[in-house]
Amino acid sequence: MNISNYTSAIRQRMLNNHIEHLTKAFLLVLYKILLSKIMPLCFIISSLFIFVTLLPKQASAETIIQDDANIFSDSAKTEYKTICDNIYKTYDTSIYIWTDNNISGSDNYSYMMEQYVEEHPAANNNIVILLIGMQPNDRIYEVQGYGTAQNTVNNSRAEKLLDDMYSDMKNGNYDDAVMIFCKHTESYMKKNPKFDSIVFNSLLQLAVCFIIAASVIGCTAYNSGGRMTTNSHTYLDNANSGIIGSFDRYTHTTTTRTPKPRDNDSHSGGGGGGGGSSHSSGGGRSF
Amino acid sequence: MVIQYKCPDCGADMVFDSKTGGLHCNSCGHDEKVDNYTYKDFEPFEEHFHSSTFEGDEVNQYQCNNCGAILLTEKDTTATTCSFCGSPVILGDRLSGALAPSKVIPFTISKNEAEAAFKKWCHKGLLSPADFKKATRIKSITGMYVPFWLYDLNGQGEAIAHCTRVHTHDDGDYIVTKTSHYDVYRRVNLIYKNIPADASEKMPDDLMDKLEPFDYKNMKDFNTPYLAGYISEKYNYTDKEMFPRVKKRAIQYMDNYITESIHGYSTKSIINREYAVGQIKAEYALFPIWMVYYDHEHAEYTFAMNGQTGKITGKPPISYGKVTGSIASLTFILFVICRIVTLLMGGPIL
Repeated sequence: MNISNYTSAIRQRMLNNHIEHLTKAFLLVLYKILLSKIMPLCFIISSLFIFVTLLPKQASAETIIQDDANIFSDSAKTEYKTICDNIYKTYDTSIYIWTDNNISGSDNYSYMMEQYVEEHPAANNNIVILLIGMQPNDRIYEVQGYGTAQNTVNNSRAEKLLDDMYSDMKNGNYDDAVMIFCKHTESYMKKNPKFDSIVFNSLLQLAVCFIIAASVIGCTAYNSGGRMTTNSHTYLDNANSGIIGSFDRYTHTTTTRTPKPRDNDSHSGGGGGGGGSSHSSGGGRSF
Repeated sequence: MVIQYKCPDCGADMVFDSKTGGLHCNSCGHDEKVDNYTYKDFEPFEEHFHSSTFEGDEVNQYQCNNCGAILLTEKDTTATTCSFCGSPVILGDRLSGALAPSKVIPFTISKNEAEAAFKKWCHKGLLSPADFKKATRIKSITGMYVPFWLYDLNGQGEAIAHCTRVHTHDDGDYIVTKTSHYDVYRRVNLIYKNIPADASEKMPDDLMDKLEPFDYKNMKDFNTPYLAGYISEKYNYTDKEMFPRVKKRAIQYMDNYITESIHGYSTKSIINREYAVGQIKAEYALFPIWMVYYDHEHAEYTFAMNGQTGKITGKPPISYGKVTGSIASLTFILFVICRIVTLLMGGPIL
C-alpha cells in the first residue's frame, strides 16, 4: 500500500462523514419544520374540517328543552336530550320542549307556540314542539308539527300523542309523560303516517287473510259433495208465465242531513292571521 | 211376470246399451232397437220371451227363466239380475197399471265410463285424503233407474214490497240523503214444467236434488227394454204424498221470480206475500243413476252419478290435515300479497 492510496482513503472517509452530518442536519431541520409548522397546520385543517361539518347544526337550534316551569328532573332532561338529538341527527327534525308557569288553557297558546317557533328557527324548519302550560287550575299541553313534521306528526298522531300522555300528565308524572312524547315522536319519524291506517296493520291483514282462506276452504269442503245447479228458471215455462198485475207507487220522500266527516290529516291548524305559519296540531288538552 | 230379452240370433241375454240406445247381445254383437218392442201389451212377446208369474201369499215370487232359480228381490225391485246365473230380469207386473212409468231417461253413460269419470272426480278432490284420491277401493258401481215424479205446476201469487231509492248530494258542509219510498206490487201466474222429485224411500233427497238437471230432450216414453241389465225400483210415494215437497220448492222459485221482477231500487223488502201452488199433472218417470259404493277406512261412502250428464254428488271424506294445510298456505299467500302491496306503496315490510 503506498502513501497516495492512504490519503485518498482518508479523504474518502472525511467526505463520507461530511455527507452524514449534512443528512443529519437536513433531517433535523425537516423534523423541526414538521413539528412547528405542518403539524399545527394539519391540526388547524382537520379542526376546520370538523368545524365546517358541524357548523350548520351548531349554528341553529337542535333540541330545545326549556323547562321554565321546572317540572322535569335533571336525569329526565338528559334522557330527552339524547333521544331528541338522535331524532335530529337521523330525521332532521328538531324537538322543542317548552314548559311555562304563566301559560294557561285560556291563553292563545297555539299562537304562542307559533311565536316560539319563529323566535327559535331550526335549520330546515322541521320542528315538533311540545308546550306544557302550568298555570294552576288551567293547565294545558299541546303538540304542534312544522315543516315535514306536519306530516310525520300530523293532526291524528299529535292527538294520539296527547291521549297517550294524558294519564301521566294528569297524575303529575311529567317525566314519564314527556318520555312517552319523545319515544312516540321517534317512532313516528320512522313510519309514513299514511300507513297508520288499520288497513296496513300486519296483524289485522293476517287475521283478514286467515278469515278469507278459512271461508274459501270451508266453502270448498262444504261443496265437495256437489252443489245445486238448478234455479228458479230451470223448470219455468217462460211462454206461459209472467207478471199479470203490478204497480210501483211512490209514497213519500225523507231527507236527512249529516255533517261531512272532517278529514283530520289534511286539516291545517294555525289561524294566526294572514302570516300565521302552517302546522299540524293535536288540539291541546287540559289536565 | 218375468221379462228377459233373448238374442234372436244366438239366444243369449240382451242388455240395454247406453251407446246405441238399444238392446245389445254381448255374445254375438246383435243389436235390437227398443222401438221394435211395444210396452203396453205383453202378449206379442210370448214367442220371443219366456215369462212366468208365481203368486205367493200376497207376495209375488219370481223365477229366473234361464236357470229356474227363485229370484231374490226386494218388494220395490222392478228390474234386477238373477243372483245365480247373472241374467238380466225385468218384473213386468211391478211396472204395469198404476205402477207403469210413463217416461224414462235411458242411460247414456256406460259402467266403464262411469267408473273412469268417478276416478277422475276422486282425483280432483283437493281436500280428500291421498289414498281416497287414488280411487282404488270402489266396492261396486250399480246402474239404477230411480223413480221420480215429474210435476207440472201452476203457481199463482202476489206480493207487496217496500222499496226505496236513495240519492245523496253535497250541500256545503253537509251530505244530504234523499230517500224516496215506494209501495211495489206484483201478481204472477207461473207455469213450471217437469220439476222432479225422487219417489224412492232409499234415495237421500238432497243427493238426488243435486243430481239435477236432467236433459228432458232425451226423455223417452217408457219401455221395458231400457231396464235390461240395470236395477230398477218402483215408487214408494205417490204423487200426492210427494206434492208438499215439490210445492215448497215451487214457492221458493216464485219468491225468487217476484224478487227478481222488482228492480231499479236501492233497497227492497217484501212485506207481504201470498202464494198458491196447484198441480197440473204428475208423471211417473225413471231416471238413470250410477250408484258408487266406496270403502274408505272402515266406512262406506255412497256417491251418485247422473247417468245422463255425469254429474256426481255425495260427500267424499275430508282430510283435516289437508284442510289445515290449505288454510295455512292460502293465508300465507294472501298475507304475502298484502305485504308486497303495502311495500310497493312505500310502507314497512311488517
